[in-house]
Amino acid sequence: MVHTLSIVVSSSILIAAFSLYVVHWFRRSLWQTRSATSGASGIEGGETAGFDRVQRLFHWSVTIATVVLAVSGLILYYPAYVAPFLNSVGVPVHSYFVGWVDIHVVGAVILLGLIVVHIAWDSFKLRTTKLMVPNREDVREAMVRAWRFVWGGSPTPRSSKYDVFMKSYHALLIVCSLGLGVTGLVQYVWAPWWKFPEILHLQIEPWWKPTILHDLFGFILIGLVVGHTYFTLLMVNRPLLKAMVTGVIARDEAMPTLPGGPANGIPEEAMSSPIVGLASPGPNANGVSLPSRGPEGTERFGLAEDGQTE
Amino acid sequence: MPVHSESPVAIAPSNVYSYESENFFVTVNDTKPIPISSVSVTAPLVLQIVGTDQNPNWSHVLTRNQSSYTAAWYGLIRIQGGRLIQPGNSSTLGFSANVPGPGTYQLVVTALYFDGSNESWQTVIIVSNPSLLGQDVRTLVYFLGAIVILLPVSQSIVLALRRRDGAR
Repeated sequence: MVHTLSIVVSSSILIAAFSLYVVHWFRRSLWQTRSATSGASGIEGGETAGFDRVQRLFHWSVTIATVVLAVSGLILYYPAYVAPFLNSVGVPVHSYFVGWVDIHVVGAVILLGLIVVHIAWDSFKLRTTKLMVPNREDVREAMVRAWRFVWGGSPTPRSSKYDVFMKSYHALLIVCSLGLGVTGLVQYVWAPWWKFPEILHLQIEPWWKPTILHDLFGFILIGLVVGHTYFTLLMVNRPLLKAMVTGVIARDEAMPTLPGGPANGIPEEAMSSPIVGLASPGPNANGVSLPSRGPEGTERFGLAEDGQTE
Repeated sequence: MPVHSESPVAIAPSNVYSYESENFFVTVNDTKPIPISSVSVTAPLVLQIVGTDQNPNWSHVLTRNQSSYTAAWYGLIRIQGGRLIQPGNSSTLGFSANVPGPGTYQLVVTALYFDGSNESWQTVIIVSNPSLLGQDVRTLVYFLGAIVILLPVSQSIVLALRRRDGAR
């Protein structure tokens, strides 16, 4: 495995990411028990649409494709890394190596198709791409959250439907996917090392080491995906997970919007989309949440119990 | 036969951190006044040699014996000088091997000289599992990955049980 990223480096990426999540969990569980245990508190205020069918189908399809890509990628990167697990359940690793290349490539092509659909849907139908673009407020929010994470303090309200971590996650997914796509294509077309004896791998590898870059992006992506799973499983984010399954979200947990802008940043014309989420109560037919009305008649930014998401 | 510092044979890497396969390179230095026409590496069966380099100056043969693998390289003799290892020169030859796990594995490198004589040297490869802070990295990753998922899941279960008990 000499032409690939060192297994110590790749493992260090995962260990660093996983350690951060573990520290995060203990930090919020031991230091701030209320926010750690809030969420999923019920739907007293009724429900509203969270994500439309296309968004949910995209999300879970991408989840399956990503798992397939990660597992097959780990096998191709270093069969012995996952062989103890997979062999024990009867999945061939070494004896089916070239087959795993095909599975990996098919998974990548499917993921590419899904991403194209996602871009088209969110850009031309929902017109919500701006919601994912980081802005100055996000930088400020990140600094506040980092300060609070280290020094404690009152929970930080989420500033928009997608907070700074969600936007950062999305941006890193884009960077990693582009990196993986380019380096994967180069390997598949110009440097298919799996077709040669291992002793020759270094010789067919281009000077800019696309295999090592591919591994690097891949392990960063795995670290991110595990983090996404971890944050999803936190109680405070349970309503979002439920919304991604059922399409609806409790009004009390609905995503907020920025003051002065349209609800969730969605243009009014997009509100008339024919796709209606389950139990969607009103004009928000885009699968995005509507802010509920506060007692003063102003739009209330429907935050979780403690106004915090992770 | 122990490998001395003046041994004309060196293997790299001699310390390997690997779970399964690795590339090794044997460098043979001709310290005699006779050219070396062939080099072979013999490894125990547990250290399965799976391939050799494709150096066009050498023809290579990989054989599986009763209790060992042998990778052999034969210098191509050409009209002008040939491609043998000339006296005072060295040549590096590569092979891939599957390592069965941590341990010390002995290899025998044999040089066949142009006059028909031969000489063998013993060398070792030390294989360890890849580790970080003294711990096997694979175990660390598995352990931490499981913890990351189990912490929020177990917390959810505990809270759900508490809520159920509270509702009664």
